[in-house]
Amino acid sequence: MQKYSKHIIGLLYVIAVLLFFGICYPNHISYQEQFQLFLFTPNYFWETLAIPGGLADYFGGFFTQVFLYSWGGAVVLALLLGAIQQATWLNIKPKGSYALSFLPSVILWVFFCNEAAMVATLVAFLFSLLAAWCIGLIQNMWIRRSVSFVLIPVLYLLLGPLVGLFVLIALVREYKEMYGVIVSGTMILLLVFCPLCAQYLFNYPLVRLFYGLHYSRFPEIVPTLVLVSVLAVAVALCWRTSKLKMNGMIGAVTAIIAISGISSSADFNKEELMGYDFMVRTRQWNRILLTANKKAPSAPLSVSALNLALAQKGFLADHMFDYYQNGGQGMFPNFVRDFWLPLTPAEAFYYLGMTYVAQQYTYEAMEAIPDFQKSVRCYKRLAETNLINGDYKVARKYLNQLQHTLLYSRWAEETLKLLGNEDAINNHPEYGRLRKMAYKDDFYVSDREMASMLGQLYMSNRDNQMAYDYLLGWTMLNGDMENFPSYFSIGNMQMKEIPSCYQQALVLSWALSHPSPEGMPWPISTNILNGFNGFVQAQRQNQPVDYMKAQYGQTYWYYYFYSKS
Amino acid sequence: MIQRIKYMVRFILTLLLCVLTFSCSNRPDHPVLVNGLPDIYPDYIDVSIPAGIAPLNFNAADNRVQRMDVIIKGSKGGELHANGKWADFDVNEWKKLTQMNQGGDLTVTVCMMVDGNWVQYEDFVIHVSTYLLDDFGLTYRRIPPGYEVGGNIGIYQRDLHSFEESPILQVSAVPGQCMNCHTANRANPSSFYMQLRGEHGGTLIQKDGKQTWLTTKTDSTKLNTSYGYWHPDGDYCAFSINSIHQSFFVGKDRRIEVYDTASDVLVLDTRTNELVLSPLLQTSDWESYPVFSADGKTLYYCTAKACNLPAEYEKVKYNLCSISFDASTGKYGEKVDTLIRVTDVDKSITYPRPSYDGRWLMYNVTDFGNFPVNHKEADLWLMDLQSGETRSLSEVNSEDAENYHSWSSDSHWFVFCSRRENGMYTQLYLASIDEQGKVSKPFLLPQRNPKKYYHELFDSYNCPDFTTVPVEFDARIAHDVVMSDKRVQVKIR
Repeated sequence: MQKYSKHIIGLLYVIAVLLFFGICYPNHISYQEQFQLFLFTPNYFWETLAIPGGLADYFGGFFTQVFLYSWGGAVVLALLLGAIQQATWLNIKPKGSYALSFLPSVILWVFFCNEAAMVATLVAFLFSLLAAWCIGLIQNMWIRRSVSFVLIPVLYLLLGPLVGLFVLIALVREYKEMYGVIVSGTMILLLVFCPLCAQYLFNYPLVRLFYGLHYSRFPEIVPTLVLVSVLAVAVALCWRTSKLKMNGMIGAVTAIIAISGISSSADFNKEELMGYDFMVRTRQWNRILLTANKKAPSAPLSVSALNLALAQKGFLADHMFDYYQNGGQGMFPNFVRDFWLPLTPAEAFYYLGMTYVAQQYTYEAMEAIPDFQKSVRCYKRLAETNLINGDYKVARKYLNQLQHTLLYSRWAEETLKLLGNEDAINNHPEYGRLRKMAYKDDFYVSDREMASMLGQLYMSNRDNQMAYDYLLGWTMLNGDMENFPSYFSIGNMQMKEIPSCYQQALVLSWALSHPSPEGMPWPISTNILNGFNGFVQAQRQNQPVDYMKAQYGQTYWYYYFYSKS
Repeated sequence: MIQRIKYMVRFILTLLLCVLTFSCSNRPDHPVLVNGLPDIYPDYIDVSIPAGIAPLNFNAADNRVQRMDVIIKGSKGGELHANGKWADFDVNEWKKLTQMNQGGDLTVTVCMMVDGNWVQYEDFVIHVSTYLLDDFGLTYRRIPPGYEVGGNIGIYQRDLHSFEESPILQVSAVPGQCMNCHTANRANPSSFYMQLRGEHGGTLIQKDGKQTWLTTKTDSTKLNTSYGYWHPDGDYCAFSINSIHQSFFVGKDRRIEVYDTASDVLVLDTRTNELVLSPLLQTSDWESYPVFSADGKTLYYCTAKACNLPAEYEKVKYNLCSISFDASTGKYGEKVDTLIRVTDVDKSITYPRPSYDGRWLMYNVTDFGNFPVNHKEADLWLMDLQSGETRSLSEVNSEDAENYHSWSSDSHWFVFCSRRENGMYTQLYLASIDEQGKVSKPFLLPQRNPKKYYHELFDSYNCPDFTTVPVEFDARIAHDVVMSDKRVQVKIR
């Protein structure tokens, strides 16, 4: 048992990582996949390789493809982090502390709680450790040193500045040998020399060539935790000379670092938002409703996802105020120049039939990706919007690229067959429907004229129930009771019963402009009328907000008087 | 042993036979002759090219074509042969052939193999112009054709005599900044300016390798400079200052409308970094797109009556005007001439570009507005500056937008952007013009494998300009200065 204890601990560590990402943090995994377009083409390979750290980026991108499936991504991360631990151990054994071999990997695990972390970091870290270990196998000192000198610039080009890890291990190895100071100094000079030279070859600022182009999605952020993890390797190397082993204590400290680091770095609010966005992306409308029923969303993005799901299932008109609503932002969050936030509103625009607006939001999001990657999710949507709009040549460009992807090639091939085939597109359950929903007239997009935009969309095709529900929903969320009855009246009057939210809004709009319910032209149910009377009564009695929320929290009236900002 | 050698020889001979058989099938043997020209990409049929330009490699438009065999014969001698998946000519051999046939024709015989069968099409001709194109190449901006977000923008230069493209400045070197309007003086990059927008924005004036970064906004001019043009003597730059906005559409006809809500024209003295103003160019109307005439004595610009925007976007129409300018004193004339009136043409005239020989003025015509790239109907027009006659350049115009035209240093070639291929991504076309104003059929900027290149390119080209020699620019210095926000504040003279 003792013989296998290290393997068992290593395996348990991998399982812990797997379970964390698979169960607690799955949406951070799937989030990653959408911000790259990994192509199986020679061009893509060489273009990726042509930048310092390119090989790590290539492998990172390759692995990130499977992040579409959160468990797939969790397996990749678990294996990479496990491999890093094992590679660290290879470099410090037999004198090193096995417990300390976990520390760099644990710090990288914490690093990966941030959505900006890139898989290329792990690849570069692992390859650097493995390269250092392989070099260590060369017995002849001068051959080993010569190979190291050659490898430093090569590894800089392939893995980026994490070649520093390779140099660090080599320094520790060579320092005490003959001419150790000179050799170590040369290695350090070479390490500094690489980015200094690279600035003349590549169009990047020197500072970025020093801290890496592919370790963080945001070029302006220095990946501090990656540096800390390198330092952790240094500590593990130095510990070899210590007579103190203290494996138990180190293990405990590492575990504390892991738990405290992960709990302080993991952003579960963001995880929730990412979850909603992923469910919208994958059209899991029922799952969105189930998730919201467990815990009502409150951020604009998640509320807009919920409203979209309600609309897709036909529940918006009856149930939108069963959930927390945060104004018009909860239907169409304001456009911001961001690579992710516009994507959920873009989905709403798409399903509404505002394909050009969806295209704009999608394109803007893709071009805002900080490291200038293209987005496989955006390419897919842009191919769709261009196909719906009849811009087949542009759609073909996107589809041709998607043909070279792992997970979207079949879809791209199927969709390519539609291009130019008007009958096939018009009869397509989704594209044909969205084509019919399109605007008949052209005019400016304006956040401030959203009601008018939705109204015109509905008038372009009165079968577009979603546009109608969104028009009335938007009007209610903005508290525009003056216009609500007129917007309501443009709707299909064939409905058997007016949906309850609309009834509530109609009663309120009437009450705001009339002294009594006499003459109200709509068939309002007795329940709603009684409810409204009770609400008014409670208001007159100055009932506390908590009481009002408990009694009427799921009504439009409560939203209008208490929630609407 | 001998037996073994025999086997070896037999094996090698068999292998050779296989190779020969295979290679023979790659050559057209008694191809079926068909009436009609080959469907090639790009359309290089009947185009005129300058001798020495990069090879006009082309592909079959039809994806089913397995192989092409192309023979080019010069009317004055020489022959080239290409055989492969696409017509890929050797750069040096092509150069020799075109130089040998300057003023003559190249006859192109194309055979294509589909489903294992060879088909030969009617020959077509590529004309080699008598006009050389001595300029080194082009500079241009490549930008994803988005809306508000710039994306991965870069300014590049391209050697027109080969396929080499290299970056001058990419956004990765100056993160977060938007680059536009890199403009040299009459295609000579020893003087050029460039605008940077963003948190660390500024105007770069580079003269003889020295970079000066300016803040061109002053208390009285209110806005930074935008569209500009060099005075031929290299001391002055004319600029417009524009309050630029854009609106987006919900439907299919238009995507974006870019418009100004205020704009004026002024001149910057690059020796003293002073702005030279005139009340005639700073009116309540909107003045924009200033350019100097070839002799530097006239400043052309466009002007429109102010409208309520964005509501009245279709009413915005620009006249073409001019005012005299004396470079020795740095003073404007006292009257404005209107060369093309909106009331006469009911169109909007923008982006005037005089040829450097003083013969022509090329400009954009759109139904309205001042940003032709987003106008499907945008066409190029030409004014004969000797006779004042104007005409649409139907030889180069298409159903989609043409714009961003620029002249070669000898004024016999021009480059422009067009969206004709797919309505979204602009590409660069070149055409020649003779003394009578006859314009040749334009050709798409050559690429090694054009179909692959253009179909996989997700950038639009814009602001192209010829450059006589390669641009020397130190992106590292630019990065340091840009990020440090060290700027020279311009003053009003």
